[in-house]
Amino acid sequence: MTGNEFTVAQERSEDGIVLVLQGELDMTTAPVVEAAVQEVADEGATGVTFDLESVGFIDSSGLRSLLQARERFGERNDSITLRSPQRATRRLLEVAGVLDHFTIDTKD
Amino acid sequence: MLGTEDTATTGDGDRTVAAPIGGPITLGFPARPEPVRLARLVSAAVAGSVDATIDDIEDLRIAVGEACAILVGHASPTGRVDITIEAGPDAIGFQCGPRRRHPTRPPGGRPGTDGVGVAGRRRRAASGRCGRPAELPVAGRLGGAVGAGGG
Repeated sequence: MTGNEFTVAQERSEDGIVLVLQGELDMTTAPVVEAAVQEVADEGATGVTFDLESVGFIDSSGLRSLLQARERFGERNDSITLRSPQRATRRLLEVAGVLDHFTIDTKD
Repeated sequence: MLGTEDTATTGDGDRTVAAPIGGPITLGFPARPEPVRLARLVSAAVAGSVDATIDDIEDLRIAVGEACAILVGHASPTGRVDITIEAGPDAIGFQCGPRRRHPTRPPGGRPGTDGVGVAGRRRRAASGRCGRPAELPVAGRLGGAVGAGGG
């Protein structure tokens, strides 16, 4: 299998809107995330949680989509929560120097 | 050192065998975004064939993905990208670039100018190496390398 089967599911919880991502977030799939963020922003959301537990890889395009979401919701560090990021995702955020741009929820 | 251990013991006591590939792996693919994932998968497989750490593998995946994405972004619609990945004793390296084609030369005329030319392709080639962070952090570079297999 060489295709990147990527899905975005929207859930609502007491913490707000959660976008559950599954697959690899790269230049081919980042537009899907951007469209989902646009949708929740149009609904009046002031922030969003990305569930990244099932995201095994993020490249710079994927990172850009997360930063764009933060920008859309006012560039506050608490506007975007990244739930259960995998080690590779955390490493990318650290290397890029943007780990503190997001609220990290490790969901122990 | 990378690639010197044929066996390793997992935390559960099971023994796993790393099987060094024994030479460079070259992959060619259409210059489109979708196959870049395949290049990342191959790079991870090459890194996994030696005793690379998880961070080494992730660093390589990122470096390969980013380098290929740059090339794809600048390629013609019919272009192709070649990438060669090799696990050496101390590092895992890769080179990638647009596939070279013979320049078109009309009979009695000058070479065609319908493409970016070899010089342009060389400028767009990329290479990088991954090793143990303390020894050799990811060091992708753009601008000086020739295409895959070309140097």
